[in-house]
Order: sequence, then C-alpha cells, then structure tokens
Amino acid sequence: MSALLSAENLTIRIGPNAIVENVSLSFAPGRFVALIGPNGAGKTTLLKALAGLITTEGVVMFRDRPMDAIPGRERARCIAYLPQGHQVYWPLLARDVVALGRYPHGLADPSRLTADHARAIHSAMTRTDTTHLADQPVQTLSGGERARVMLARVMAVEAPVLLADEPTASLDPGHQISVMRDLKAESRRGTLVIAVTHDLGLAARLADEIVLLDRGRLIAQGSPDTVLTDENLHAVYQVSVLRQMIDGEMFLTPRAPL
Amino acid sequence: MSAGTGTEGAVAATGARPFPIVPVLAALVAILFLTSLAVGPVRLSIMEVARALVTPPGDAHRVIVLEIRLPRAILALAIGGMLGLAGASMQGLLRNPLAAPSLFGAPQAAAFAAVSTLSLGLNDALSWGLPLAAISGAFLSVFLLIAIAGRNASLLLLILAGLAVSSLAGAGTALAMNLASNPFAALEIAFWLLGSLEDRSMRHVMLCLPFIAVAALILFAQRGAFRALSLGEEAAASLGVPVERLRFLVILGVALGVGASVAVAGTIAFIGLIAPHLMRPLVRHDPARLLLPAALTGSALLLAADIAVRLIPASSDIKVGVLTSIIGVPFFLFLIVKQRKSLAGGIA
Repeated sequence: MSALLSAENLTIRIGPNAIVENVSLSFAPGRFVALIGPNGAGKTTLLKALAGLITTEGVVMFRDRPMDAIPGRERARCIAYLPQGHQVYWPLLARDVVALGRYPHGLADPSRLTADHARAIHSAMTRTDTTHLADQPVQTLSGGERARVMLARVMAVEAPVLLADEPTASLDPGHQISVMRDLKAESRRGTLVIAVTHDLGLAARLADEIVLLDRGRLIAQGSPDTVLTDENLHAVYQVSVLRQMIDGEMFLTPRAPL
Repeated sequence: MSAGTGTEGAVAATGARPFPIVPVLAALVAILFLTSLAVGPVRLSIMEVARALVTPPGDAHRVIVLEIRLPRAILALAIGGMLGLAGASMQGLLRNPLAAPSLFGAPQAAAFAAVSTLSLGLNDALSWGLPLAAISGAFLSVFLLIAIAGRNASLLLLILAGLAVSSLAGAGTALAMNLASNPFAALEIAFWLLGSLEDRSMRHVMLCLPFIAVAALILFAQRGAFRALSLGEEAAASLGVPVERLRFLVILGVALGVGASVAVAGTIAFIGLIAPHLMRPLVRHDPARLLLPAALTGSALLLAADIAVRLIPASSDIKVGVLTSIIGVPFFLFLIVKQRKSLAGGIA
C-alpha cells in the first residue's frame, strides 16, 4: 500500500508546549479516515500540519515530496482543507463561495468560468445537494445548508486529499449524517478524506480507518474495530460504550454515569 | 457526473452583472471632471472649457482651465480614487467594513513628517521637501507597524499597532505645532492639515501620480486574494494565498498611495471608508469586484466635494478635507451602529 500522505516523527510546539508529539502516520488514497480524540488532543493542529499550513518538527510527505518543498498554489491543488466554523466574512452568493475552490486552479473571476471550472463547481454542488442554494447569500443559509456549501467548496478543489476539521459541529443529526455520507462518497471517488469528529457512532459506522489522539500523542491508528476498543475509549474519554449490532451494522453509544 | 446541461448552464451563468456599474461610474466621474474645470470664480460653460483647451497660449480662459483647474481636477481624480481603492483593499484584508487607511496610521505619519518640515522651515529651502517627507513618513509608519506587530501578526495586533502608530504621529504633529518657530508657521500647518486641493500645480500632479499608479497596480493585483480571504486566513492559505506576503503588499500599497496623496493634499478623511461601503451591495459584496467601483466612487466623491467647496458661499474658503470629515463622521457613526452586533463579537 503506497502512502498518499504521511507524517514522520511530527512534533508541533506552540511556545514551550508540544501540542502534537512524535506522531507518525500514513494514509492511502481512497480511504475515509476519522480523526478522533478528546478536546485539546491536538486534532486541529495535526490536521493543519497535514495540510501544510504550519511549520513542524519532523516531515509531512505528499506522495514522495516533503510538504514544505511544494509551492503554495500547487499544494492547494493537492490538499483541500475545510477549517472549523464555516465562517464567511462577506455575504457572498453560495455559488461564488464554491467557486473559490477553483482558486488554486487559476480561477480569477467567478463570473467568467471555463467549462472545466463550471463542471467542477456543478459536480461539487450536485454531490452536496446545494445547487438550489446557488443564488443565495451564504449569510442567509441555515447552519446545515452552510456546512454543505462549504463542503462543496472543498470538493470543488478536486484535490487527491480532503481534510475537514469538525465538518459536522453544531449540525442537527440529519445534517451530521448527510455531511459524513457525502465525505464517505467523496472517498469512494478515490480521494483520501480525513475528518475530525467527536461523533464516535458515525465514525464507527462510516470510517474505513480511525486515528485516535490523546494529549498530542497517537494512541492508535487502524480499523474501527481495532481502535474503538473499550480499553482505548475508557483511557482517552473516561467513558464506557454500549454496542449494538443492527442489520449487520455496529452502533456505538458512549456511556457515563449522569 | 454528466448532469442536465440546463442546470450546468445555470451554475455557469454566474456572471451576468446585475448592474453595469463601472461604465455608469466612469461616466459620472467624467462629468464631474469636466464640471470641475468649469466651476470657480470665473464660471465657464462646458463649451468654453473645450474651447479653452484648444486655443493658443496666452488666452485667459486657457490659463484658468489648464494651469489652475486642471491640476486640481486631476489630483481630485487620482487622490479620491486612491483613497477609495485603499479603503476597499484594507477592508478586504481585514474583512471588516469599518477599516480605513487611517487605521494603519499611514496618513497620520505622512502628515507628521510633512508638518515637521513645515515647522522647521525646510519647506522654503527645499520646495520638494514637504512631499518627499510625507511619502517617507508613510513608509516609516509601515516599517514601524511591522516592527511592532511582527509579520505574522494577527489582525487585532495589527489594528492595535496601527492605533499606536497613528497616536504617536498625532502627538508628534501636536509637538511640531507647539514648537513652531512663529505663529505663521503654526497657521500654515493648521491649514495644510485641513486638506485642500487649492492652488496645486502640475508639479504636484507629477510628484504624486507615479506613486499612486504603482500603489494602484500593487493593490489591484491582490483582488483574487481578497476574494479568497472571505473564507478567513486559514482557508485562504489552504487555497494557496500567501497571506503574509499579501498583508505586506497591501500595507505597502496603502502607504505609497496614501502617503503620496497626503503629501500634496493634506489629510482628506473618510473617502476611503465611504466609497467602498456605497459600492459593496452593487457588486454582491464581492471584495474583488469591489476595487474598481470603490476607486471610481472615491474619485467622484472627491471631485464632487472639491466642486462643492467652490460653490458654498462662505466668508473664507471651506477646505475640502473639512467637508469630507463633516459628511464622513456621521456616516462612520451610522456604520458603527449598524455593525454594533457583529463588532461586539470582536475581531478574529
């Protein structure tokens, strides 16, 4: 299995504190990876490092190249990154926001789309079911609609790697499922998708692979079965879990005394 | 993924501009420019202006139009445009509709440097001393700002550093007036600070125009980055925008353009705040598409204000900088009240 994206002995310090410590990871194309861990575990920091947005000790490699040797525009075509919060500072139309995903491909003016840009934008909006929102300012959209538009924005990059930081935060259950399902579908098109999430249940059902972080250290990387063990979850989250098998699918619910 | 061409066409046809904003503004600016050549103590008709432009040297109307009013009109066009463009650029960089060039302290520093030369009497010895000092002052403020805030500074840190720089420049200006060698020097400084386009010559035009042109080129080149920045700095960086370099270039462009403008016209406030704000709804809030209309609106506003000060009957001349402030401050307050809710959340 050849790695598309990998990290070797990654350590990231902010001031004297190591936020991520000596983490080595490797990811193959076409996988849907859930990056989990308690608050403050270093998930966001690790994701930014994988996106090439912060300087680190150790190396992040994209295919056979060290990330910091790849120029900004080219890196942007290789790795699409969706930050937390889904913030848009001006009331841009949803279609113009999605069109920003074509910026690394040289789209300067969203009112003059080439056929290729138009196809990528249309495809991303179709897959996230947002075409009907195209002409609305993003500020007027609901949280769930906005999350899907932002997802379309990163998909429009059509990069081999898509990193999403808590794409389902503050969404209702229906939107949480639809966003995670869209991400999974994206991975089935050959994209490596890594999503930070706190939803262990959805991660267990949808992810091919789970990376568990705690206090900056890598606890486990592997299939949901091997990572989401009672011991790991209790050690990291101080919860036990209830497991139910329904129609051949494992449903996992965290439990702790109330 | 081959979907119906109908919907694909619908997504593709994003461009249709709702309103031909640039041609309309350009026409408005052209009309105001010609009006500016016609209005003054000697009122000329547009036909007389046109005739004055083609008559041989020596004609009185030709002197009025070409030597007195043309430099003034060109300066209003260029400086107004520069201020509008600088405002739109700063608002794009900071992603805040209340940002204005004066936020980074560049005009204040330019004014301080210019005032220092006035108070030291260097202006008489070196006729180019004042404009050159103002431009250097603007440059210096940028370097000081970067030294205080660091190149990786957060926007909040930049704003605070800009406030410190402009306060320092203000204090320096007050000191220069305080120490002025004689009352006439103090009066000269005071009038110059008010901001005016009166009695400017082609020499002033030639001095500031190259700097404004370079600044405009630098700022216009960043328009795509401003649009990407709508998603925040992290997302913009992930799209390949070199955010640090962008920040540096915007500050440099603003310092160059605003410094050169202050050098020849004194401080003219609020054009940079008002012009982008008026145009934003007409370009669907796109910070990239905003730049050109904001520049044209800046030109139109300053041309109009400079015509207005010639028409307002007053015992002594109203300075154009005073007029823009009187109109601008209430507008600024209106914007703050309108933005109150989002501002309470702080600047990211």
